[in-house]
Amino acid sequence: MNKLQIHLMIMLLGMMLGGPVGADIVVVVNEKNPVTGFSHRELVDLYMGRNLHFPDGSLVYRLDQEPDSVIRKDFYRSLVNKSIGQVSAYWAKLLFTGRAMPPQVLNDNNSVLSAVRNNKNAIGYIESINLDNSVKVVARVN
Amino acid sequence: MKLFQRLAPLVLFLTLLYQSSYGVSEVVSGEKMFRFSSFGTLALTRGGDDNLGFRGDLDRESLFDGDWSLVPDSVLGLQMDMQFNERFGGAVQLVGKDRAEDSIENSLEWAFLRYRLNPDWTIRAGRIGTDLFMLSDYRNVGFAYLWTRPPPEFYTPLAFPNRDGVDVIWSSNVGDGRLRAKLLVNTSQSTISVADTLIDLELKLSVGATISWETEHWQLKFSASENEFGQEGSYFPGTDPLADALLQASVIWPEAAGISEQLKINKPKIQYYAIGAAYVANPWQIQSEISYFASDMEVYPPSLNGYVSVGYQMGSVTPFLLAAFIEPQETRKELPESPVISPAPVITEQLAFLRQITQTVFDSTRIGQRSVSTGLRWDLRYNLALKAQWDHSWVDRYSGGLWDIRAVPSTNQEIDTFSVNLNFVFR
Repeated sequence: MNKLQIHLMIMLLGMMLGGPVGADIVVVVNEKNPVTGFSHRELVDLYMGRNLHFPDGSLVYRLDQEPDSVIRKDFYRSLVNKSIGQVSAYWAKLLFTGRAMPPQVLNDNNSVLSAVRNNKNAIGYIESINLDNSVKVVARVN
Repeated sequence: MKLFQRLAPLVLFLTLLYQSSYGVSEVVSGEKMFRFSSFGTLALTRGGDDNLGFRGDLDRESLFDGDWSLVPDSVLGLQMDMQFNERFGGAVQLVGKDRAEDSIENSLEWAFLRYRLNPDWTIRAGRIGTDLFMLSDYRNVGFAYLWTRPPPEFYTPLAFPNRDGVDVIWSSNVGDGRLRAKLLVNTSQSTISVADTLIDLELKLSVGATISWETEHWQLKFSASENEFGQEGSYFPGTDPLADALLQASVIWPEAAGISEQLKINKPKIQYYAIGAAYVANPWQIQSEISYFASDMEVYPPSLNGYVSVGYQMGSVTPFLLAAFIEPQETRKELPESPVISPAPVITEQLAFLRQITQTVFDSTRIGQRSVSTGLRWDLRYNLALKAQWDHSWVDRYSGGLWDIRAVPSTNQEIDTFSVNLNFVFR
């Protein structure tokens, strides 16, 4: 094996283990939702249960991805610089004091997409490569 | 095992509830109408000595002789959240743990209905966790905090873990954070164990306000409340037989009548003031609270309480240091010596015993203690954490009321507590 082959091998391995490198995460809402965009702070307030409503006053239906998924790890790392465990401990406090319910966990990007497509009050995050025209992007993360 | 025998009906009940809900679960704007979640702590604790019994909280059973036990700190909690429509919902939470008095009613930690008038205003009514200190409404949920238990010097004196009543919450963006202001009106009952005797405490009425402000990294909280304990003019809970005995003894011990008067609840209203701050930004987790219990009651002196905690996260392990105190704000009340009646040594002995018991009552509510603790939290999975902690406590003589005391120590005591906990949440 020459040097080039070894480098290729390492790159391939890295891609397999780490998932798509530098994949963009987009936060999406339903097309009918009047909201146009969220600042970083507005997004933090929504996803950390400090704000439970969209600007038009409707209750937010938050969607999450699988706890062991790379996208969930990356999303919270760039949103609040916390590990999934830390976010989970934070939500335990809100959930078990009756303040707010944690985001509903869906299986993958496609499940999130279809839930957002079918629900006016839904908000979710997906990898940008899965994006199509049926939903509205309100923020980019990473 | 006793604890798990007690938890079994709870688990069965919730399982049935969960299964029966499948039929009725509907979708309200995409969200499920019913959602179930649970939390728990499997805790191994070693504490107490032959005289001081360790207890995680006033309403829990105590542990003597430095034994290892699963009972004092283990908890299982189950919750059902309900969302009927955008505005109307509620929650029920059952908590199984080894209590001084086990009953279904005591196991019901939360049971409330909530109505959101608009995004800023929420009203809740029913049984609601006591929200006066930073952790006071989730102290059962070990997974949500760093230590194996909230510092007893600060949290144990707040004797009523939940209240029946109403709260009104207003929240809004203020500066860089979210402000939440809450008004509470409620009442409560609690049963504690003192020297193997069960004593019912009554919180007749409590009115309070809390203000908290939260940003991504900071949380600040203030609270003030007025708490009316029992009926003015009645004897301090559990002391009625003692007061009677003192009155009877006053024939030969005139001062005893005056002492029995002091056992009466003279000023039932106690004000609590608390201020707390937390800073969480990787890798630091720093938190501190101070409270003052302003009491004019003869049997219950005022106290100053506080703690400070620093944690430093390294990967999935967070070691921490914690220091906590409770300081009584009045000198010890020492009762006059009982008379010596030389022709009747038996009566002399009985009077001395009566005096000693009464003195114990005054000593058990005047608490003075400091602790330092160190330990670590290891996050094994996103919903599972292992914790280990060592506490070293300095208990002032005659002031060990945080412990279940067999005989009031007349010298300062030092005592260690060790605990290993496995904490989880499921949702």
